Amino acid sequence: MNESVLMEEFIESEINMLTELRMGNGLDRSEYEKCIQTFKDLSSWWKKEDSIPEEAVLTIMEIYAELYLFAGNYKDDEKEAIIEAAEHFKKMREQFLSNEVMQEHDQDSLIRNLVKAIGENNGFFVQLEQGKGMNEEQFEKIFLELEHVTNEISTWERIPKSIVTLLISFYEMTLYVDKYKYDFNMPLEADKIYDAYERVFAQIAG
Amino acid sequence: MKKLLYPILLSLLMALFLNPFFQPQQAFGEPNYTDIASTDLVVEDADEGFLEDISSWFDGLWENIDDAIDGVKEAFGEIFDFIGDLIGSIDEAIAVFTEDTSEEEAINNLNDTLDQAEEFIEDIKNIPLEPKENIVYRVIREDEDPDKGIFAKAPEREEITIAGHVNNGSRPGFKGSKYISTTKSFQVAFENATKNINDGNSSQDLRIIQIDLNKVTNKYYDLTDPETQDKYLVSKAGKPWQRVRNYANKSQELLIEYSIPKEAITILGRPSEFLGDIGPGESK
Repeated sequence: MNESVLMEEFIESEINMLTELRMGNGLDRSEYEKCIQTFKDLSSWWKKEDSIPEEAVLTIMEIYAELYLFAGNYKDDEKEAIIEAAEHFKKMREQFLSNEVMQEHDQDSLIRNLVKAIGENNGFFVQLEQGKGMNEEQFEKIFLELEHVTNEISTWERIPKSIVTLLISFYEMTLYVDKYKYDFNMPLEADKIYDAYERVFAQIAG
Repeated sequence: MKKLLYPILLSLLMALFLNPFFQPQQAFGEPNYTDIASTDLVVEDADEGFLEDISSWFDGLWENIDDAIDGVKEAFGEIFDFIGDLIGSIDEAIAVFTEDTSEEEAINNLNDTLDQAEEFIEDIKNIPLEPKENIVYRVIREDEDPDKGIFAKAPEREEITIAGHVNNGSRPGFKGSKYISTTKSFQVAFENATKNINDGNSSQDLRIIQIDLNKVTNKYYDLTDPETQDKYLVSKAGKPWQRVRNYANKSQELLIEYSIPKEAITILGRPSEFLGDIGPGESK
């Protein structure tokens, strides 16, 4: 099977799986297996490359967060199965993106300012993770840089893995909403994070 | 006279069901008797083989008769089993209807049930299962008052795109947008009214309204229309956003901007009101 057919199957199986979850029909095991298998095959295909085709980026970026959010719509065993599926995919994705490869793209200069903005104040995402809330001023600065990066790469056919990793962090900001609302009991902070996520979502997804 | 009702009904039912069993039985692939007569019993000149032919024909005939008798026996066996089942079913049915009451009450109960069934069929006939031109449906929240019209949850959130509304709109934490979700499919509305997909498909019984798009004054977007999808359901890179398109197609989604005037609304009610008690997603 060639790369484009594999990629098509990967994207299609993810869409089918998420559509069924959204309709309340539970986890479609066969679509999930297909999704995992095709991703495994694509991972070995792209193992030695520092970038991936643009068509696959959205799927790789969104799948964990989407599965995790849909798990919240279900109960008991079905919920557990969806979370397990999400975690399985996350583990595979981390391995895939952490491969050390020679960088062919001049991505450092493009993302330098974004990485710098994220790293300020002990790290934007680190602070979020630790329950210290969202620094709005820092977010605005980050958002400007994010806009610059996403506008720049919107015409690229291949996206560097380092940028995909950054985009995933932004997409998964949505997972902090419930964490702040329920675990940290900070509804106002949760609200701010939700608004920030929606802006980020429109910028990186559509 | 009433005492004769069940035996007469039973006899009629038996006669009706026995009829097929008294038809000539023939197994698949077995030659029928006419074929045997026309092929095996060939009238030839009397020669040495004639008696042999007759004899083998009779053997064949007896075999067929034996088979036929076996078939009849088998058929009678089936008939008796069937009658047994039938009587059992009738007994059960009578027990269900009568609950140890008198025959008159039983008949009244039966008539009531038939009346209810007729009403139910009439109700079903009125439910539009096929999408109708310019008609859409919406399952409304308890805090919405259709007599006053329906209003977008967050009209001030202009920045929320149509794709963003479709992607995030069904999530419990969604803060709303200037769009109001509706569906072209009554079936989708019915399912959403009876099962809460955000809570493990738990049972619910929400109101469904019907909206006449001819009376809607604001802009609306039929998200199942390929041209509309090409315009609004696209990714940041301007490419078709297939996942969101699938969501819209599956839900037969149509978005209306800002508000729906009360004149455009017909309240269909809660599923339990027009179909009785129902389970989640069930349509009886």
